[in-house]
Amino acid sequence: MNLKNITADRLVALYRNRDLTITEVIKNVYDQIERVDKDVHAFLSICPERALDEARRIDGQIAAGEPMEPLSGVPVAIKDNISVRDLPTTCASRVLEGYIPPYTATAVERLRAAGAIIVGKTNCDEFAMGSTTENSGYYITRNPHNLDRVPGGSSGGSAASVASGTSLIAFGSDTGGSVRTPAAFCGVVGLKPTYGRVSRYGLVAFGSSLDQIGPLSKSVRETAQALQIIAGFDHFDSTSADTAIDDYVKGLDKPIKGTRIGIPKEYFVGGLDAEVKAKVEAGMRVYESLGCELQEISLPHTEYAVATYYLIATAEASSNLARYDGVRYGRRPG
Amino acid sequence: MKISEQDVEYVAKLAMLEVGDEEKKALAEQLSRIVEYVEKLNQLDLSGIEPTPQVITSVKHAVRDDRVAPRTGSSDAGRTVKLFKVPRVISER
Repeated sequence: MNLKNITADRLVALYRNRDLTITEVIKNVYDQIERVDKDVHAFLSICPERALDEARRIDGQIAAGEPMEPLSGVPVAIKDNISVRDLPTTCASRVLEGYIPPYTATAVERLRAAGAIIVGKTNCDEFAMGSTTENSGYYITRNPHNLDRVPGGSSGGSAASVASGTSLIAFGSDTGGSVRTPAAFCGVVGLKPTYGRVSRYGLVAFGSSLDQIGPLSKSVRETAQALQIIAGFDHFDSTSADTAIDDYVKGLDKPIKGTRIGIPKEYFVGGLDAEVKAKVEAGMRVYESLGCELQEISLPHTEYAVATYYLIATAEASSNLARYDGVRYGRRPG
Repeated sequence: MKISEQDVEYVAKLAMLEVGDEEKKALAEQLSRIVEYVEKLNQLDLSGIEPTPQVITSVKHAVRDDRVAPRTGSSDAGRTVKLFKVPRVISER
C-alpha cells in the first residue's frame, strides 16, 4: 500500500471495514520513511515506538467494536516548532537541541483526540524563518518530486512528508507564506487559517500577530477535516477567536455555481513567472467552467504588503526570540 | 536612509559577530537596500488612520476570570507535580 495514493477518509473506511489494521499501516509508514527519507530529509525526529503503541491501542478499540474517531489511525507529521509533550521540539535550531516540551500544543491535542497518530516531527527553516527549508540548523529538506529542487518553506518538511507518502496530514505554521509556499512547491494542499481561528498555544512564537498553525494534505477534503478538528477558541490562547465555526466538510458538497471570485489585478504584475501565470489562469478557467463568475478587483495596497510584513515580522521575531539568550532558556553546558 | 560600514560594525559588535572588511562593505550595501525598500511606506498618507493593535475585532476582554479551575491540557503543571524541576542555574564556588 502506498500512502501517496490514499486519503484520510478512505483509509479510515478501510480500518472500519477491517480491511487493514492501523498497526500494519503505521509499520508501512516507517518502512516508507526508511526508503525515502534518507534522500528527502523531511523528518528531524521520528517516534516509531510511541506510534506503534498508539496503533495497537486503537486497533484493539476497533476490534472491541468501540466507535471510531474521524481520523482514527491516520498517520500525521508535526512541524518541529509545534510542541508535542515528550517529543523533541527544536524549531530546527541547535539552540533548542535536546529540549523536550512538558506539554502539547492545543491543535495537536485536538488532532490526537480525533484519533490521529503522530509519526514524527518535520524539518523547517530555523525558527520558521525562511522559504526553502535550506536554513535548518540540521540539514536541508529536498523536494520529493525532484531531489535537486527545494520543497519551499519554512514548513518544507511537512509538505515533503505528505508528498512522499510518509504522512497523510501534516501541520505547518504560516507567518508569511510558510504553509502555502511549500504546499505549492510540493504539489499538495496547504491552508493558512484566518488569524485567531486556530489556537497558537504550543506553537513557538515567531511573529505573534501573524503566526497560525495550518494543515497540509493531498486534498481539499482532508484539509477541511483537519481544520474542522483544530479550529475554535482555546482559553490558553487569548488571541484565538471565540466565534462560531462553520461546517467546512459539509460546505465541500455545496455547489459553487454562481459564486463570484475576485481576481486582484495587482497580483498579475511584473515578476510573475510565465508558467505560474499560465497555471493560475488555467485554474481560473476551471472555476469558470463550473459556473463561477470571475471579476477583476483591485487591492491597491498590495505593493506595500511585503515592506509592511518585513517591519512587523522582524520586530515581533526580535522580541520573541530574545528569550533564547542562553541564560534564561536553552542549552546549559556542563 | 543609508546604513554605513560604521553602523554594520556597531550592530555586529552588539551581536558579538565577527565581520570582515569585505563583508562589512557588502552588508552595508545590502542593509541599505532593505531599509530603502521599506521606506516606500513613507509614500502613504496615513493621516486620520487609526493604528490597528488587534486584528480580531470580536474579542471581548481576553482576560479570563481569576478563578481556580481544574487544569486541562497535557501539562503536568499544577496538576500532579505542583512544581517543575529545573536544572540549577546558580552554583556555589
